Amino acid sequence: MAESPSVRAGYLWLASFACLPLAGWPLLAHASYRRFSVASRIGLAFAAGAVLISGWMTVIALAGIRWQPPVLVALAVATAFLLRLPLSAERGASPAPPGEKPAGVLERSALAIAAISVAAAFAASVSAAATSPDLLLFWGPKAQAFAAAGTIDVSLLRDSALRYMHPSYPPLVTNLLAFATQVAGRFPWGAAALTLPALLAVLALALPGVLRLAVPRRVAWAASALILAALGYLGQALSTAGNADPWIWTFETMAMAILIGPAALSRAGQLLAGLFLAGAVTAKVEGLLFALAAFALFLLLRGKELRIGRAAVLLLAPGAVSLGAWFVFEASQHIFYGYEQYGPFLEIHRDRLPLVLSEIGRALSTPGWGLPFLLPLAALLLAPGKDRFTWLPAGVSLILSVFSVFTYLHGDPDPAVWIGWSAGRVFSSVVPLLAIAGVCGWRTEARESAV
Amino acid sequence: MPTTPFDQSDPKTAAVYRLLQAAAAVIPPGASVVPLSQPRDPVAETDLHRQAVALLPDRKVVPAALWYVPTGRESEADFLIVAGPTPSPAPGTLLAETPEGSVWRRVRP
Repeated sequence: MAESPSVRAGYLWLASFACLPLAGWPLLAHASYRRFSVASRIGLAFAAGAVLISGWMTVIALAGIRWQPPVLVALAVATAFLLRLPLSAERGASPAPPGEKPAGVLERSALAIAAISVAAAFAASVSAAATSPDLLLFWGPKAQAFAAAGTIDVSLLRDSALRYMHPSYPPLVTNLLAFATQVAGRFPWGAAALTLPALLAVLALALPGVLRLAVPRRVAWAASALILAALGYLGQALSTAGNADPWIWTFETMAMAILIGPAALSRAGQLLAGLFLAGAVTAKVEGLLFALAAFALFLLLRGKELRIGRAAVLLLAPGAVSLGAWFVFEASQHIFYGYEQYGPFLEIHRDRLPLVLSEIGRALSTPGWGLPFLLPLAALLLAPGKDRFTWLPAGVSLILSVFSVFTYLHGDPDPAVWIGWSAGRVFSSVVPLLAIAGVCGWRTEARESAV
Repeated sequence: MPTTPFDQSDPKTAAVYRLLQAAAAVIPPGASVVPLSQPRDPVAETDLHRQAVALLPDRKVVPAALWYVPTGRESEADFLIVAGPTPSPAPGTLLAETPEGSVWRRVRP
């Protein structure tokens, strides 16, 4: 039977995402990254390519030039080659993780759990059980309007009747969905929901190899399985398919996994983490707080091991360029200045704190009896060793959580409904951070120094 | 196989999606269209407008309600999408009918 045009467009739309790892691969092919497994480098290249292509889309929109997908990919590839230049001094200085005995059945079962989690998310997405209403309200309409305009559609973002589309939201997700829409010729709503399992698959490829540099293989694999199982479940339970949450999970998780390991001391690791911080800040508003908190705690905890100026440039410059281009674009086009707020920043309703906390507790305990949040917390609390690096992901989790509570103390006089539909997704970013905090007690260096 | 991306996650949105898909098949690009609810409800019509903007990208979608307040702009549109029971009297020529609603071309005097 012949496929309908919309089905063909869906396949093409999804296939266009192969351009992302292709764009990132020239960087990840550098010798400095051979410490990561090939599978890991493919996943890392996907995320790096996403940041480069989206970044160029914003810059080209700012320049007033129409997007052309082949040109965007070519620019991203060229940038990936250029980014190899600061790494030239590190050629050959990339020790692989220490060898271990072949993995047993129990150890391999962690990889099976990760694969099953991705497959379950795929099944939920393809059966229309995980799709976010936000896909229909703003991610999809913005992407198809941007694709049709061949740029960030200023008239759409300025339209006061369409302010529910959050004109100030950072551009990465809409850019990349528009990129795929330009390639496919239309926005396929069903295929868009499959970005959830696709991004979990990226994480499943990348994360075990990144964590493996910091902790024994069995811990890296088990932690990856826990993160993917929790996020896979939340992805369906919180209806995140097609929206920005899976993107920010991917960027934040990979950035943090690098920052707690030995790669964070190298230019290559810092550059890669910097690209993922740029991905986080341009994927969702709260990514900016994540990036600033992660950077500050990284300097605080690992500053003595670093050349701070160089680390600051490598970690912050990609995000500054990507988000800066967006802020300049929205200001120059009179769309918005900065971000939308839920009322004046310091106008806090302190009396609502008990209500806010109880509603957050209710929201977090709903999906799977709260297990996707409680299990990573248990992994942290039950970790055998304590390591100062634990405070990097745990501290960022704490800062994100406190800021979320602070946000809910603003605006709406009865925040119960607001918390009910948003808190699960807002706090979902904390899940992988808690699990990574848990693995810090197993860090190879920490274990060696303790012996 | 699901008929919309929202069949399991949000059945209410899925119903509107099916109606708007049927409308997209019969309303030509460039035409003006207003989504209405039957009975009239500005809250439902605000949501309908937002969903129609997404699913009818090449048409001019006229809001019957914005931010839960009626606009009174229905007469600007040449096509009507009515979510709910078939309106009486008929507002024009029936183009499509689904369990979720109907699509009409307005007959101008």
